[in-house]
Amino acid sequence: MNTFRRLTLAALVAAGIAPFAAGQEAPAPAPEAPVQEAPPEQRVVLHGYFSQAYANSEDHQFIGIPDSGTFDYRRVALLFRGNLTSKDSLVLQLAQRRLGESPVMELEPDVKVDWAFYEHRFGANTSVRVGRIPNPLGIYSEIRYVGTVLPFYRAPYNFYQEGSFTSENVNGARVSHTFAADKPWNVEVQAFGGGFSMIESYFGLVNRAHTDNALGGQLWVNTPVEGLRFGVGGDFFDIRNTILDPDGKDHWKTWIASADFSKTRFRIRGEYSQIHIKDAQFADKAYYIYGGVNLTEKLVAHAQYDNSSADLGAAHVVTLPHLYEDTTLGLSYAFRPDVVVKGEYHFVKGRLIEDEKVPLDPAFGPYKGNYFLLSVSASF
Amino acid sequence: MRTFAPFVLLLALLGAASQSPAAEGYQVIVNVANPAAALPKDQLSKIFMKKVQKWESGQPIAPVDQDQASPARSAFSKAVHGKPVSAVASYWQQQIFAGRDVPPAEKASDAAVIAFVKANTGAVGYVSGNAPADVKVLAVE
Repeated sequence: MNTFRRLTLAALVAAGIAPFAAGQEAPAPAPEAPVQEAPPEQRVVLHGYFSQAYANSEDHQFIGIPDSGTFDYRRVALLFRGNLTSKDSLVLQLAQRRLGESPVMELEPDVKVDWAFYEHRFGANTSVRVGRIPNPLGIYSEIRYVGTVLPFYRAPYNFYQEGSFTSENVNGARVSHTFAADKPWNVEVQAFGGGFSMIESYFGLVNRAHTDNALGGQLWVNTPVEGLRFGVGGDFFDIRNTILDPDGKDHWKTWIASADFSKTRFRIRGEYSQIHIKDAQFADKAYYIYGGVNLTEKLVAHAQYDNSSADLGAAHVVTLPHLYEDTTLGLSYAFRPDVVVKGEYHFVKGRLIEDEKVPLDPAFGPYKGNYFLLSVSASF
Repeated sequence: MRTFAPFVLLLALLGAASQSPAAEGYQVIVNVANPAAALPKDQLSKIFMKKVQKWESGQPIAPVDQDQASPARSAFSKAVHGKPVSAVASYWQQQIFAGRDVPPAEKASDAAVIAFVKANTGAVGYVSGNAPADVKVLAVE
């Protein structure tokens, strides 16, 4: 089924189930209030965030961080939100990313459109988005670059990637509904479909691949314990113009599992993912576990272990451990909730170094790539 | 002493019962046309987190916060949300940058909050001192 038909089907499904899903909310004692315009001060709002870092590797280069250090490491975004009515919104986010001396910067635009979507809400617990929408998979997916809310400069690398082999957005549609929203146990379900492009970087080559026929979903179970939730999700898509396959085409499947326990003074999170690339006969398994504790209201200590391994070949006969292994320790200090400085040290070893061309082969690596990163983040 | 003890106890109880919420650092106010007289604390928290969006009458609720540095905001946040302002601000940052929602309007002073509540029949806000007569005080249960 081509992309247009899948999008049409997704939109029809969304339109068909959304009113039904909205009807599952508890009956109101009074008739539905008419749709109202948003208050004047909230009709068009502008927000933004900014993270600027200095990073320096003590060994090999990973994720654009050279042993000579770089200030060319930042993420900036401006988010425009137009609240047309209490149920209808338009959202546009423009962004810029600088990743030091990463080869992906060859294809990274100066300014890009992160999101551009229309959202309609059917009641308080159901919504549909159409356009360039945030990818909803995972704990950090929708906020993966917002420095003032992240524990480190970036979200866990193996799970979320940065600059390559990932997309923060999907061109398509997403429907979301929360079942039993007013109950201690409630379930949020999101389904999405469409396509996206992503940069590939391997063996000194960079390339922009395109995906079609993407379908995916994310489910969150919110428990009666405040701050504790569990999630599962995944997606699959066809990819073309990929450098990972001789004929330029392949098929990806991903599934993820997440656990998140966040309280005011501490938080523990972990996620696991598996990616299978069919014709390339490549399977990636990644996981991380993170813990953070408030030493004071403003000062937080963070620790994280992030690892991935790859299986290659038809029967996955070749296993490459430590594809990218990162143990991180850090401190963050929030002068205000919207101004945060961070210092973090990463103990890294991995195989996809950027300062030499090395293949994915057990004979090569893993290589050390420890680095430190100092950053300041702000948002408004 | 035993003669006075019940009297002293009665005075203490009366003092506790008549303690104004303004003594706690905030007082919740709504428009005089709003029929609501009281709200449970958790319901009030949900209103300001935009998880409850309509009054029982079906009218949309318009919550209004004060600036993050406001002492009234700090008192309200700890008493009603059970969290410091910074934790609530972090929640709203996640909502904003996930494209999901925006926080309630923020006003710089009690006077601005009062003006907003007077101008919007569905509005609910809080002030640091005792509320004037042209808005209605909402009891927090």
